[in-house]
Amino acid sequence: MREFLQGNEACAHGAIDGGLDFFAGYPITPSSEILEILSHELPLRGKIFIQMEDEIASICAVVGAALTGKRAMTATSGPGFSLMQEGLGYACMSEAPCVIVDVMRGGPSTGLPTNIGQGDYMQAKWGTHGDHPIIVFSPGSVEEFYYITKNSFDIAFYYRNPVIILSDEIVSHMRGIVDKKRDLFKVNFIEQPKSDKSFDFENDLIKKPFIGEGKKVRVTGLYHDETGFPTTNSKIIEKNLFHLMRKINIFKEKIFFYETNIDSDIEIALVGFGIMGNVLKELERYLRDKGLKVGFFRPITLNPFDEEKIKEIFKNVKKIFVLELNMGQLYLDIKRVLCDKNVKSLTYFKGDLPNFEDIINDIEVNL
Amino acid sequence: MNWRDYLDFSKLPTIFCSGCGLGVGLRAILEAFSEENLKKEDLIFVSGIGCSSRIPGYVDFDSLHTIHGRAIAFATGIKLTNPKKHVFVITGDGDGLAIGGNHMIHAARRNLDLKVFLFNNMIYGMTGGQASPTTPLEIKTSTTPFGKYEPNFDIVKLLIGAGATFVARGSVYYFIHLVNLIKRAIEHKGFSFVEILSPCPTYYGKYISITDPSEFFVKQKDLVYRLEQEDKLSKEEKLGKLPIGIFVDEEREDFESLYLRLHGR
Repeated sequence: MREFLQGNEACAHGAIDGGLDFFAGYPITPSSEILEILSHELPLRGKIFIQMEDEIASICAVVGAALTGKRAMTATSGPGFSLMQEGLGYACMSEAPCVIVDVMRGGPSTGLPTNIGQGDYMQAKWGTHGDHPIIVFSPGSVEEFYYITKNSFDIAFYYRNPVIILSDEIVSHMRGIVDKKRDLFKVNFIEQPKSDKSFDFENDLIKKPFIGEGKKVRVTGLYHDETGFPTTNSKIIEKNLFHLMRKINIFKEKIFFYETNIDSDIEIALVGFGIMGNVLKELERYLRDKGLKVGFFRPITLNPFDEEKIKEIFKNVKKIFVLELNMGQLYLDIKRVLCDKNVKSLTYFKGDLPNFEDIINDIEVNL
Repeated sequence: MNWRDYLDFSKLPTIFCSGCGLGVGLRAILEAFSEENLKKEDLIFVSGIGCSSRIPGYVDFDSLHTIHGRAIAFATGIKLTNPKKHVFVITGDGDGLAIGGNHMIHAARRNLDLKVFLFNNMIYGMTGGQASPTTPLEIKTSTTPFGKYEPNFDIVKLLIGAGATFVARGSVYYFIHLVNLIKRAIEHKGFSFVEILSPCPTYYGKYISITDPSEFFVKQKDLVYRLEQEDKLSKEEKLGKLPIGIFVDEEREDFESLYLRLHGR
């Protein structure tokens, strides 16, 4: 069934089709449509919607529901996402499988509430304090937004970890066709055995019990042993953190989503995420017509970052342009992985997409 | 079931100091569970950060020790998706009223069926004796070396103002009275709040020069009077004392019932 949907609408539909049980949120532009749509749709389906007093309460309510095994989600934008960081860290530590949508607007601070920015890239990956595991997806179209949201719950539950969906003001507010019969971003994971222990630091992906199942689950944000009881034992601390950091890298190739047309002939590569990923394809076509051997690479998974895969894709590429609507954040990751390559950062931050001619000019003068 | 059956003895002893009221408070809660015949598989403890928030680690049923000030928000997500469970929030004066004050008043307003037990020791114990929103005026603490120049919250009035449908105050000194308050809170349908006055000899005691745990515990007796005696006692007799008892116990449609009714289910 093909539907013409707004990005945020597609996200809400994706969440419902992904089995959403619980949504807690707080109004913030440009994500509010997700909150509004779910306030109507969830109660009609016998599911729970609640508008909380702030974004901190929203993420905490979501993590609480997630720890009882419910499919829980919240949606916000930059300022709210900043407020959620401590709760997000708790979700990582307590291994709560929840989904957080951040519709990026211009920052810092209140910034540009109704305009685009892509400045939350680093915050999504490294926002909360301490080393922590995180899964981040960034859809580039309305249809991708639908499917990423729909399938994020399975991924969150498999890894027992929060998943962040990094949308942006344009992807969220533009309209596009969504074919709900497709099978995008569906991951076939290997089924894991069940456990009765609150935590397991050896079997990273074992199915741990949830609160309310009668298994006496104990959860804390402190470093803890496998019974969930706080500890300062250095050996257990190490085991706890290593387990957390290790688990999201297991089968990471299965959740490293991207789109590229780079093959052995390509000399120049354009790189971008979110809405800029969409723009790359137009630029690439134009530059090809001019006789340049241009290709594009569009990461949809921003974390875990499959560095080996990226190195392999860019093996023969000589020049790389990273285009972003910020001051160069994805660039730092690409440059880190491809440190022996000629990587150029092209940044555009003015609250809107840059002019086509300006980008072409920037590429041509840097060739 | 005996109150001991709710306790996970493998995690004892607790981290609480000698003379701390938290152990007595926990015992009172568990006695109430026992008398109310609550099943362990139906119970969930949720706490934030602070001395009192370490209580959930010692019980023999599901528990969450969450982040500072947010226990009520976590509990909201848990209760809404697990309406048949008894969800209890264990918090303190700093956790529940300073950093978590916003969640406290909104939860009271919503009248969600949560039971909140706030241990008020009038100081931040876990971090070393700083002033809290309930530290009385002019008391010296590690952050009010010249005496506290901000008035304290009257927690009971705050909660009543926010719309809580069950508001009570007890003291760990009056154990049986406290158990009965907790039982009434459990029986109440809707947001139930019990302030539990609890001594902290280590820090609060140090600042008011009563460091002997038993002496400080006995002192708790002089800090309160029964609400029933409100009209019988003179102004002088009540000076510097807090009433204990049930202040509000009213029926009002709770969040869940309203949610279902308005959506026609």
